This record gives sequence, structure tokens and C-alpha cells, in this order.
Amino acid sequence: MIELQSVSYGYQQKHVYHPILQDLSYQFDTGSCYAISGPSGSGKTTLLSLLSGFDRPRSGKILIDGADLATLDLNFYRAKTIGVIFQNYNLLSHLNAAENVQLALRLASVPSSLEAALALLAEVGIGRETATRSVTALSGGEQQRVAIARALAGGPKIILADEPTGNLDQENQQTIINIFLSLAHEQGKCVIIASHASELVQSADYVLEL
Amino acid sequence: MYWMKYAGKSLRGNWKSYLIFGVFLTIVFAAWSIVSVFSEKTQASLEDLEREYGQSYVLQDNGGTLLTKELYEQLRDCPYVADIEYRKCQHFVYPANLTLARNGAAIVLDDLLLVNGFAGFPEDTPLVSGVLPAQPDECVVESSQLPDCALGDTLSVADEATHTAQTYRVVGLLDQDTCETLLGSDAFSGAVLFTTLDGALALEASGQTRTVISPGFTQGLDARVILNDYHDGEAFRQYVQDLRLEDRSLSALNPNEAYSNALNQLDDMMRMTTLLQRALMAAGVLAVLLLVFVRTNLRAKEICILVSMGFGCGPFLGAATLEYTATAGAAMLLGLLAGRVTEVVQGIPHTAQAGWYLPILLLLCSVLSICTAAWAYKHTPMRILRRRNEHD
Repeated sequence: MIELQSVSYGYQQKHVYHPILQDLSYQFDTGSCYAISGPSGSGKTTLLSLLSGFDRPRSGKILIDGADLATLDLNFYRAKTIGVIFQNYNLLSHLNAAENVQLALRLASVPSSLEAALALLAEVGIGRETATRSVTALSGGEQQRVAIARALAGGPKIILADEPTGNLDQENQQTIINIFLSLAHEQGKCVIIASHASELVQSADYVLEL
Repeated sequence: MYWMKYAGKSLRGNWKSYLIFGVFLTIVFAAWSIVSVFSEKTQASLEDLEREYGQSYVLQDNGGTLLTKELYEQLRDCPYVADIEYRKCQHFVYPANLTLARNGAAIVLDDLLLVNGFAGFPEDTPLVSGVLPAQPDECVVESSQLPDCALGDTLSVADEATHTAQTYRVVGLLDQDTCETLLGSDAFSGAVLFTTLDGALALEASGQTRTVISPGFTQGLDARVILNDYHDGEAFRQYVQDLRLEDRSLSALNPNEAYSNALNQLDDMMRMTTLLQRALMAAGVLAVLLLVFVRTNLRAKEICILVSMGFGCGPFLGAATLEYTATAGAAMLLGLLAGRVTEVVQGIPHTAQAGWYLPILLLLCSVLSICTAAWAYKHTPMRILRRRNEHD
């Protein structure tokens, strides 16, 4: 599904090169939940950025179903192949929950009716009444579930989540973990989560330690 | 066209931000529009003044001779001349070798006979009786010197020297006051016989065995020449100076002293309104720049979210341009409306000249929107979406 081939990444600061990922090779498959763990600065978020196409590796390749990510249409890739979830949700604040999902549906060129958006939101436990409220009026757990529904809108094979439970209480953390496990095991998606949270790391099928 | 729907939702969702810019832009454009209205009014006043006075010249006859028909025609053919007015076209007929007869019987006057050839009498000319002359052989008379004159009488003026004569039928009677008003002067005495213009042309006669100086339309001093365009003034002056008039010369002068003062005042006002217009237009451009740059800067995180969702650059440029241009366009329309209301309230005729600047500004707004949105889409760092150390 995803293959990292000797991926390296670092940044230049005051003429000094700071390596973050060095010669990393790994393979992520569908139907499994992967946790990327490691101390701060180890490159967890950087790896997700590379997988999302936000950054490019300095060397090495990232293959998506055998195709080099660098050669793919990134808009299509982000809209259809991956779903990205952030720690701070990153919902569009001028849209309500359903509209956030509808926009993702439109970008993925799938039917984007309100009913389709509500159905996706219902899958993550967001009801109709909550779905039509402004996202700024939702709790952290609700916002993260809306973000997950949005990430799922294009029917992606890959879910990339960066500290998805970092801002949530214990009860909401478990709900979100369950959703991710369900996505991997029941829907056959490749779920890759960068996290410090021990509960999440322990729940994952595989752990990539950086 | 999902990006258009997105632009609509963005406008609605960020209405406070757009409202602030919209109100600011509306104030600027309304002020500009109102100043433009007054500027155009000043311009119109300036043009009216120039048309009223700047095109009007009086011929000054340095030789004291009458404006002859030949000279009239020569001036009429001048390319700069639109019209020559004969509102006070006095034709002094000096009593010399003239005989005057009424109903065939010779009469002798105590003083000179003044014959007036009118291009047109004012319609409201008060008459003691009768009507105004309409044919070359009709006349009205001021009857103080001809007390027995009555409507229907015939008056014959003959010049014994040239053996020419003209007979008029009296169709109206004037009193002395009206007569003086029509002549514009009370410095005459004698009988006055008003005819139509053509009648005066034909006249060569003497009332009391003295010589007529010249047949003609009028005294030169009284001919008011209207030019086609006030800009032709200098050329017309030169044209008049170059006229070949045997032993005499003509000059053309603009006699309105108040004209230049009023012109200067309006010029000053025009300069001020133009300066104000430019300042407000500059403020408008600045406001548009602020709208575009500030709004684009404010939506950096939104751009990153859209990028992460696969929202393409083109659709984003379309949405951003639509949002900014719609805001600026609405403000401009409201500004123009304020100008229109001012026109209606002030009773100023509508002119759409000033409005032509706005589509250009709107185009500028669109171009700026596209450029800044493209730059932001390309260069906004995706790390904005992360909460912690970008290299975590």
C-alpha cells in the first residue's frame, strides 16, 4: 500500500543541516492500524507530512500502490486517496459540521448532498442537530469526530492522523481510538497515527518507533 | 462550480470581516462619487460660463462705420462664427437729402429720422396699437414726431441724391419708452421708424435734405458675434483683425469683465475637486489593497486546510477573487448610488463619466486578488496546521 524507500528528511538552520528522518524504509498495508511513536522531535509529524504530500523527502521515495508520490496529482491524492486528521481538528470555522463534510465530498467528486454528509457524520456518532451547528460551537470530541467524517468523505484507503486524541478527555479518546480501529479492521483502511498517547499506541496493530 | 458556492459560504461565514471592509470601501467610494458629482457640476458651470461669455464677442468698429451687409456676410462665413445677433441693431439715418411722405403727402420733421432694422422684435414688445412688422415693407413707428400717424398709413422715405425710395405700411405704434428700451439708448431725438431687417437694408433716404452716411444693418458696436466654440476666441480675434475693410478696421473683444473672475474661481474649485477626487480614488485603491492583502493573510490557515483536502489552486483563486471582487463591487455600487442620490437631491443632471473609473478599479481588484491568492496558496506553510514543533 505505502512503501517508504530509504526516506530521509531534515531542515537547514543557519547553514547547519538538522536531520530528522534518516534512511527510513517501511511498509504500511491496508486493514491495519499503525502507530508512529517516539520522543518529541523524532519526526512523527514530519513523516505524516511526507505521506500527505505537504513536504517532499530529501532523498528516497514514497510509493503509493507502487506509484511514486512525487509524480501523483496531489489534489486528487489528498481528495481521494488519503484522509488527514489533525490534533487541533482544523475544521473550516465558517462552515457548519455538515458543510465541512459536504465540501470534502464535492472535492472527492462523490455525491455531496446534505443527506450523504449526515450519513457520514452519523457513522462517527454525530447527529443531525449537531451536524448543522457551527463547528466552533462543538466540543473537542465532536469536532474531532467531524474531522474524521471529513477525512472519510472521499472514501480514502489511507487515514493519516496526527495526535488525534491529544486534545480530548479520556472518554473521547477511547471513542476516537475505537473509530480508528474499526476503520482499519472493518473497512480495511490503512490507518497511520502519530501519537504520544500510550492507549492509542497500545491499541495499534503495529508500532513504528522513531 | 463548487468554488462559487464555497465563496458564497465564505462571504457569509466571514461576514463581519467583509462588512468592515465593505463599509470602509463604501464610505470611500461614496465620498469619491459625491465629489465627482460636484466636480462635474463645477465643470458644467465652467462650460456654461464659457459658452455664455467665452464665445461671445462684440465687434468694435474703429472707424465708426456701420456693419454693412457685405461685412456681415463675410463674418457669417467665418468658420468660427455660429451666429451674429442684432438685438440692438440701430441704423441711424441722418437727415440729409431725404424726403418723408405720409400717405403721399410730404412731411417735414424737426429732427433726424431714426430707422431701425430689427432681425426680430422681442415677442413681448409692448405696442400702443397694432402688431409688429413681419414683412420688409411693414413698420412700426414711435409717433411722437408723427402725431397724426395711424395704422395703415404709408410712409415713404426717398433719397433725392440716389433716387431711391422705400415705402412702408404702418402696422404698429410704439410709445417713446418702448422705443428707447428697444434701442438701448435714450441719446436720440427725432422720429423712429422700426422695420424688419430686410426693410432697413433697402432704405436709403433722407428726412431733411442731409446725406445718409451708409446703408447697413447696424452700428458695429452693437453686433454680438457668437462663436462655435469658446476655444476659437483667439483665432477669431485674429480673423477679425485680418479682415480687409477698405479704410477702416474692426476688432473683436470679449466685453465681460466678470467672466475672467468667475472663470478663475471655477478653475480653482475644479482643481480642488480634482485633487480631492484623486485623493479619494487613491484611498479607494488603498482600501482595495487592504481588503485583498489582509483578507488573504487572515485566511492562511483556511488555505492550508483546503490544500490538505485537495482544494485546487484554480478553484481557490476563483473563490477568493469572487469574494473580494463582490465585496469591492458592492461597495462601489453603493458609492455610486450615493452619488446618484446626491445628483437627485441637488438637482444636478446625471452624467456617468466618473463611473468609468470603477470597472478599472474592479479589474485591478480582481488581478490583485488572483495574484495574492495564488501567492498565498503556493507559499503558505502547511506547518500552520500543526500545533507543536514543526519538526516533531
